[in-house]
Amino acid sequence: MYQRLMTILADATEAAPAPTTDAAGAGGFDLKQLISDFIDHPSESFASVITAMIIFTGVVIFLHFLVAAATKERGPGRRASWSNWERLVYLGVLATVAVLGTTAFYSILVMGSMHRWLLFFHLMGAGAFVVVFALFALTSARAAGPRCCATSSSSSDEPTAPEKYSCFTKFTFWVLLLAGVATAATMLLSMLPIMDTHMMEQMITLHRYSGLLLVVATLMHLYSAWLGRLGWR
Amino acid sequence: MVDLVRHRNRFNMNVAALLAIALAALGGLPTLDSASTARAADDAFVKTHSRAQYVHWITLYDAGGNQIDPQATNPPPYSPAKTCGKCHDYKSIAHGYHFNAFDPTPPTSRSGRPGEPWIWTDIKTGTQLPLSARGWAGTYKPGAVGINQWDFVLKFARHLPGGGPGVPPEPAPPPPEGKAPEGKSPEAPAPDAPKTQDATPAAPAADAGGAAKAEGGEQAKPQAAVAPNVAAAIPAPLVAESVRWKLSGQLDVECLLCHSNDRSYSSEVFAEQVGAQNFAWAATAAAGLAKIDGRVDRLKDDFDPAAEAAAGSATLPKVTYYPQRFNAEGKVFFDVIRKPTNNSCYVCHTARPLGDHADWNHDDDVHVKAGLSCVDCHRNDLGHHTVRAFEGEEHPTDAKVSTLSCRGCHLGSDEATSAGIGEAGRLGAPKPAHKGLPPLHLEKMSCTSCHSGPAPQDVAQAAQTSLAHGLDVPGHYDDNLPPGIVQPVLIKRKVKTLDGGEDEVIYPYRQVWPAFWGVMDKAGHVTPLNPDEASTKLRTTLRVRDAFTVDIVEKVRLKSEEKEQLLGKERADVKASEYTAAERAAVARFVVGKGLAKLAEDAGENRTPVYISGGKAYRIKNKETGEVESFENDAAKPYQWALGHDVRPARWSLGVTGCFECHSDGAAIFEGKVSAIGPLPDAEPVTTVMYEHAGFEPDVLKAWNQSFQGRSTFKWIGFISIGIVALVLLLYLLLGMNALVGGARRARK
Repeated sequence: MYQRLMTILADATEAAPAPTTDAAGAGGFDLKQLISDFIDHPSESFASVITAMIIFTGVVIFLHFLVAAATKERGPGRRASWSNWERLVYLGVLATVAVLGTTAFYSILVMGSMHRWLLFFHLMGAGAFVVVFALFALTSARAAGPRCCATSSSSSDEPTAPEKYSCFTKFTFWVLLLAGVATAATMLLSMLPIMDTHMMEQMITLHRYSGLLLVVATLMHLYSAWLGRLGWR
Repeated sequence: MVDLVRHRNRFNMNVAALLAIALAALGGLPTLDSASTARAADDAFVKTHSRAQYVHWITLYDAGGNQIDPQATNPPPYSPAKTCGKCHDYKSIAHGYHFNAFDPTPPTSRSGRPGEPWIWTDIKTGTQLPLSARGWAGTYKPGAVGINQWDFVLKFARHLPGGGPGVPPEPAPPPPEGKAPEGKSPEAPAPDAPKTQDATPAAPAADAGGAAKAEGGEQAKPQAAVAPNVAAAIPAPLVAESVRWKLSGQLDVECLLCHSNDRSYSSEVFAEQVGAQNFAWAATAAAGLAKIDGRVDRLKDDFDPAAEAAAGSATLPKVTYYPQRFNAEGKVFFDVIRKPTNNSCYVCHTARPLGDHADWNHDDDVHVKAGLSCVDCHRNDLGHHTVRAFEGEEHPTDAKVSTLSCRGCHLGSDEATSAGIGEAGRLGAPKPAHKGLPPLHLEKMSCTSCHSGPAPQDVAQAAQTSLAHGLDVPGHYDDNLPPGIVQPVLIKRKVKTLDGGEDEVIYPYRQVWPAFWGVMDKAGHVTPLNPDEASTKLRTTLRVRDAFTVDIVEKVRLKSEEKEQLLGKERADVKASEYTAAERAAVARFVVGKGLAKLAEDAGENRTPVYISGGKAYRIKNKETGEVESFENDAAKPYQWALGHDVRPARWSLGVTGCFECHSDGAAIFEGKVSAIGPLPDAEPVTTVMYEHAGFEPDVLKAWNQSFQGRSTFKWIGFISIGIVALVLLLYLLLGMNALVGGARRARK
């Protein structure tokens, strides 16, 4: 069903008429120009990419939710519950990613650059993030691992609950970890006196995009984990 | 058929050829015209276009363009305008940046970023008035305070390069007999627009000796020099000015001041001659060409050279040329260089830091030590529009000069890239890596804030400059010599960026607080009094002989009851030299009150006399008791100008020891103090903190500095954290691969 939905969306995009130059000049959406800007000036086009990604993520989640709600009877049922510790760590991750994402995106979209209190809170959030991030990886990696690592009681005759994570949740978990490592590493390396200005500017660009991926992966992970708690997926 | 085609082709070719010739002829005419025009302009002044210096064995010409005979009885002095002007485009040069401050023509007098003003200092009245004819916000145009070009030249002759104010304004056409000239009467000019602290220059005002700007940008005719038959309607100083220009002659642009390679050329002699009002003789004396006997300043206003010479009494200065300076053809050798040496620049552009051991323990600019000269960066075209080399500078010739700024030279600029020039490295400039420095610093701070001038200290340091303190003229330079200038003060200002936009960037500045006597109107706008006028009016009241700051406390005679009222009974009999700082301030303020009361006698209705000093304005609070109060006024705000030198070496730049050098509590860059310096003793001077000038909020700064305490710990935890996560990723990658391989094996079985 999920694959079918993705195919429908792809077909819809292909069917949309390519914007003409006139349309673009008249204020229309010029995809080619956007892509060109992104390739040539990734840093300058970040604000546009944020907007596009957030909207895209929201639309995907919304559409998927509609499909999931319509087909919830076919779901696997309520997944295994999380321990209090897992919930606490996860809340920490969500909170820190929310702070980091809000301070970053608001600064870029509204103010153009990050400074003063927004920069201060972004750094405070970063400090908390590096701690909860490692805990989250240690706590949830097992549940997101291959099926052979899933805990099951062979001696019991009772039916076991579905895994904690669906396939998509596992996928978003690993994407989240990768994006988180990239986001943190780019800034931590920049704090060492080893890179010149040009390299640091590239690190900033990488940090921005990996941070955006981190936020999107977190949103997707949260959404799919929630669907799992509902038993729809 | 073939023949027809061939014929047609030949015909077409012939037509095409004819058309081409016709077009070329028509199109080439303007080209030919412009080429011939350019050639004609070039032909007016010959050039060698060689890097080799031209050997200047030249004939001297006087102000009338006549060849000088050094053997003549009383030969005239040589005129740089007529001598150098024989081969060089003097007319263009005279509108260069060093000479065009008084130039009324807008295109050639682009003033650019506010720079160091001329500071009119009078130690007898406690005046230090920042003047500039360029209309920089925070300065006063000389004409607006009743200072005409004559007074200006005499005051600042020591560091004037000639031209500009040294050329008297053209005389107004004589009016019909018995009538005053139409239009504005050349009385005391209207005061300048209220001083503002905006980055945009103040509106130009009418200058005495200058031109008032009419609507639509057209220039009104100068009116300073007046015909004799209207002399009665004109205040005395204006009459005196025009007559004395006739005696002194004009002060030409003194080319040798910068372009002489002769170590015997003396700028001190030049300043002496100008100070004696020997304007026309100054160049001759400074170049060591002749002995000048006589001083114009000893001649009366109505001096008639012909009559006096006949009577055998005082004459204009006499010139006796040294014969050894002339060859057999009557030519003189001028050791002229195209690029002035640093020594020439230092005459006017020396900044002397004060403090212990500052004189011998201060290092030269790192560029000078690397072998560069001032003019390698601050270069100019033939029009002498000297590049000031700040970011966003627009050159009057529209030449791209961004690669001569710090950033343009060391880091490259978009202009250079688009012009096909290499990005950076002009003159071999190294490209700084700035390893570990977040790029935000390079956006929000200028290069000079970390690399130029003295490093910020707990208290901004005092400095002296050539223009303000007359350095280069031998004298006794006390560290407290007014005006008081402090540096560096880090200020955030809106500046133009290389891409034509605007940004707020922190720059280091020098700062001076104005001090003057003035009059305030109902709206609170203060107009300075002419310093000479103030001196005349207040001489007997203030009784200052040597130095305002000291004499106003120690030389003034106060009545016993006045002393008791100010100091209390116990301290009333103490010697003035033993007063505390608070007592000195109290006495000084009292005496200023007396001065204000004196000025109030003829101030007029709705006009309050004020004295400005040290960031404060003073006025009489109670007329009966003479109590003086201080208050805030825009006129008291300091004037600042950016500093670019001396550049410190990279290992002495700000932040080289790490982030904590700046981002910690008490760091001088944020919490250094800037205390006002003024002639009036003040026990509680206006003191600001550096972060106020840079536009930072103290709460944010404090939070930021506190957060930096955990920076090292954060780095450790961060690296450990991503290390753990990386290990988890690696472990499960291997497990995943194992699961895939295992699955494939099972499937095969």
